[in-house]
Amino acid sequence: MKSFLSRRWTLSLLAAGLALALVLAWQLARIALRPVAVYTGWLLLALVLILTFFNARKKLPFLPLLSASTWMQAHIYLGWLGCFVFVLHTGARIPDGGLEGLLAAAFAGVAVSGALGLWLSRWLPPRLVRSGESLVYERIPVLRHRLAEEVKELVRRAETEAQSSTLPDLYQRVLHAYFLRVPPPLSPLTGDDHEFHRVKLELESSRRYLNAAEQELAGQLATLLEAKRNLDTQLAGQRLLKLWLFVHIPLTYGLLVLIAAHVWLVLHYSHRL
Amino acid sequence: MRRLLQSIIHNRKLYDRPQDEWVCGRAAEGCPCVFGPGSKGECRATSQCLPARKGDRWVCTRAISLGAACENGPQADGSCGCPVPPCTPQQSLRGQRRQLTWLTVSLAAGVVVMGLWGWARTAWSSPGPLTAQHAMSAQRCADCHVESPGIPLTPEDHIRRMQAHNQRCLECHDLGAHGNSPHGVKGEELAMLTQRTKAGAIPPTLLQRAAKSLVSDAPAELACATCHQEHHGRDANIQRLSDQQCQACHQAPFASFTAGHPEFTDYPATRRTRLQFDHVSHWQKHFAEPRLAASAPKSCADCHEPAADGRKMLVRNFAQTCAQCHAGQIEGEGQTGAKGLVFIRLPEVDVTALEAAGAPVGDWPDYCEGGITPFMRWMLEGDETARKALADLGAVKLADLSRATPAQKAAAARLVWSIKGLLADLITKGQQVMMRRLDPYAPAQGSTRHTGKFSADSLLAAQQIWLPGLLTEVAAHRHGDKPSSRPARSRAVAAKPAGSGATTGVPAVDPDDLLAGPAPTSPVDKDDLLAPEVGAAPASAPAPVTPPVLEYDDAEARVAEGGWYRRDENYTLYYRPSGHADEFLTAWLETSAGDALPAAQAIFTQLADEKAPGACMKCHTVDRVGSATVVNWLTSRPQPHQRSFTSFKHAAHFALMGVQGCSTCHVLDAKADYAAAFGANRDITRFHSNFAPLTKNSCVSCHQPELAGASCQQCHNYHTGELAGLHLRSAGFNVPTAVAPPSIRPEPAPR
Repeated sequence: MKSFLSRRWTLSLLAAGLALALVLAWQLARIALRPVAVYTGWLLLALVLILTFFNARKKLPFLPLLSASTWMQAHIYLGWLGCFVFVLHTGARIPDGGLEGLLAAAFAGVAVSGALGLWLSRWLPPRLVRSGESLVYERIPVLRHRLAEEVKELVRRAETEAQSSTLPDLYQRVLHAYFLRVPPPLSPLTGDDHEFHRVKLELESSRRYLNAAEQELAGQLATLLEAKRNLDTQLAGQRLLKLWLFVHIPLTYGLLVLIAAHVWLVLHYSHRL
Repeated sequence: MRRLLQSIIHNRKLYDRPQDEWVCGRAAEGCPCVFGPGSKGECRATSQCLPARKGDRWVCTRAISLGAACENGPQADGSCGCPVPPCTPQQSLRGQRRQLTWLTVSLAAGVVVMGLWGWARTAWSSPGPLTAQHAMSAQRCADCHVESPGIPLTPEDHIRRMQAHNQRCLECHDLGAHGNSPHGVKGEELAMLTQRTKAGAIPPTLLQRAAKSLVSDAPAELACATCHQEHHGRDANIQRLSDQQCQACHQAPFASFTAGHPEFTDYPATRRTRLQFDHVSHWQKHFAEPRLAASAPKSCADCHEPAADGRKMLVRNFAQTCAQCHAGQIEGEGQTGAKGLVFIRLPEVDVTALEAAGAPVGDWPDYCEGGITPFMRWMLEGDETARKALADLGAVKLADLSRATPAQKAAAARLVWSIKGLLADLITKGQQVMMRRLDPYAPAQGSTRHTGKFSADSLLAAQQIWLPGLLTEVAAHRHGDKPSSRPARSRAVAAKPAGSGATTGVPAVDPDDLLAGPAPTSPVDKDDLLAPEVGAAPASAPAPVTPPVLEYDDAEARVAEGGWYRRDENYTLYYRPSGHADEFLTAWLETSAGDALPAAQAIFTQLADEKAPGACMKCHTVDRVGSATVVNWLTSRPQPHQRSFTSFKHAAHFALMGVQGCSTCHVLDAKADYAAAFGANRDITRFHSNFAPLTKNSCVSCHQPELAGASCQQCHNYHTGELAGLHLRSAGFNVPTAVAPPSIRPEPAPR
């Protein structure tokens, strides 16, 4: 099996070769006074439909239409090719018509969000793996709830067994809010970790007032604190990996509607087809 | 110690359903109900289980994941003993995304509906602003577009659609008769040009060859939008084409202007000059003469000046150029014969033969010379009797009827009477008769140029000398009376012309001399037509008194500025041109040049002679353009709608000329037989220019891509031929049927 790097090189070269061939064909057709905008338009429509079918393919896993991984690779490289054909189609000109401007903006939105998604899918997963235990996104709220319950139980034990109010006070003041906290959406990109360090510092600062039994409980709290940190990292990272699709997919369907209108206009009014 | 979070999930039998749109409101607490939310997000949980009836008992069916059967068991009525308070289901990420997707699609669809069918349809559906000109003329899409449903599937559909669109363009733009054809050239001409250019073709580059393979060889009709692509902004240049695009259609493509462009063959001379002016003989022979040193031009600019648009070099007017040397020639200076044009003349008639044949013609001078003048013939042919007489007479001359048949003699007599009638009519009715006889030209020309401001008085005066009894004779002839016997005439009548009166001592009747007293030898008042005519029975004459007399100049000299005069010695009425561009001569040259009738050709031959008065045809030429004949009065005919294939702007090149001036490009060709193309030749394509053709090298030195540019469109136009630009649309004024009177507001009463 080919390595990831060699596959990337192969597909990149293939896409670049296709792009070059397209430029040559576009230039020849332009010189020959052919309606290049029409040709590139039909090509772009075909590419967009193929790219959109990737989403449908994911929903129809029973169909023997190559693997999802192959589709993903095709989606990425045909996406780049689509951007290139888009530039040829518009003649590297920013459209200034109402519908056309909107269409171009939608295409740009889909392309940029796709590129951002591709980058996130390459950049975030290794960081999530390195941060600790990998978690199922849908279970994270349950885990957060359980962690908060465990912390509450530890603090209750500290209050009953050690007859001390240090840890309960700390819980009231800091720990309770921290363990229920949901990280901000872009925290993986902004490196938002200061809340964890603040809570940890508070816990370490309070250790000097703890007896031996409380010290053990504080140690367990520190472990849970680390687990919460990983939980937050996993939540924020996985949420970001899903959030870019909130731009990419809705815009794609909006783009299809606008494309349909554009094609109708062209078929209806164009001098040359 | 590291804490693994997955291990704290208590019941692994719970599995996640990320595809679900809704999630149980208690899922975040780790205790979602087994039923889960409904498809619309409603909570479906009322209890932990639905008890089952087994015989007469209700059995708990709580799931194992929830702790299996409860201790209390179901209620007596079969309801669950562990009721679950309802939750508020949360929308999953997928559900939120789906909702957002539908929202986006709805928004896009709304925009599309508004854009295609809403009130701002034109603004939204337009792919971009039009150029300023089109933006002002087109208000709706349908002004320029043919709304076609569906895709043209067959080539015929495609061509029909393209032609329909082209027609929309041509509704405003006039591209000539072959507007749809490449370069506006019709098919056969295009094929001929193709053959010509193919002969000298240089193998094209690989790119050109590849591009050419995409273009059909047949000169198919092109869509206007092939080159003119609109909706690219207000200031977009929709005429721009690259050189490669130009050459894609060409049968003989080449790399660039410097490499491969065909050498100029006959540029810029494409036709014979309209004025016969031999630059070689004038510069090398005439202008070199010392006597002409003062009036000879010193440079080309003395005779030529650029047109207002800087393109063509025009010739200055006659007064600024040729007049200094040639004005006198036009006025007859140095001419040995008459300076005037023979218009009317009493032809020599064999009166004796006619009288012998019993066809008397009344009074007629004995010593007339010559035949009927071309102008007289033209006017006589306007009369049915004369025309028939001329036809019957055939080749027989009036001067010698000895061998004529009786019928021809009769025809000759009728012709003489017609001549007399014509003269009488011209005298009594003047220009009206002349206009009628010159029909159909005079009314068609819409002016009196053909009459030359003819003076009936001049003819009247001539008649009183030539045929004193003409009016009486003609009146009697038309009444049916037989003419009286021919009075005895002698050459003495003719020997007493107006101008020679002084020499004889008896002043002749001068109708133009109002200051002169009544002629002592003739008591007849020349203006009194009722009075007895000269030559009639003489009244008792008073004793002759010899008054002092003035010297008369020659009649011809008295109309030095042009006009009508006569010479009695040859019974001829002349018209002397008034100088350059004389209206009478130009009108008759234009009329007769294009008329194949013998009478017209006789007039043209008379006027076109190099020695004819005015000498018009010495310089001016006649072109045959299709079936029409055009006399060239101007050196260049203004053709504002004519668009040539090559466009050159002289004014833009003035600064580039070296010390050689115009000779930098225009080199005289002393060997060319320039004069051979003139004379009887009317074919403008048969000529030898005075100048050698321009060479491509003279342009290449500057016209390179990195210097002055070498693009095709810099020198060539695509649309060529007779292009009026935009069709002129004109409608009548809307005149309101009734104009409402202005309303008068009552003035407010003064307080």
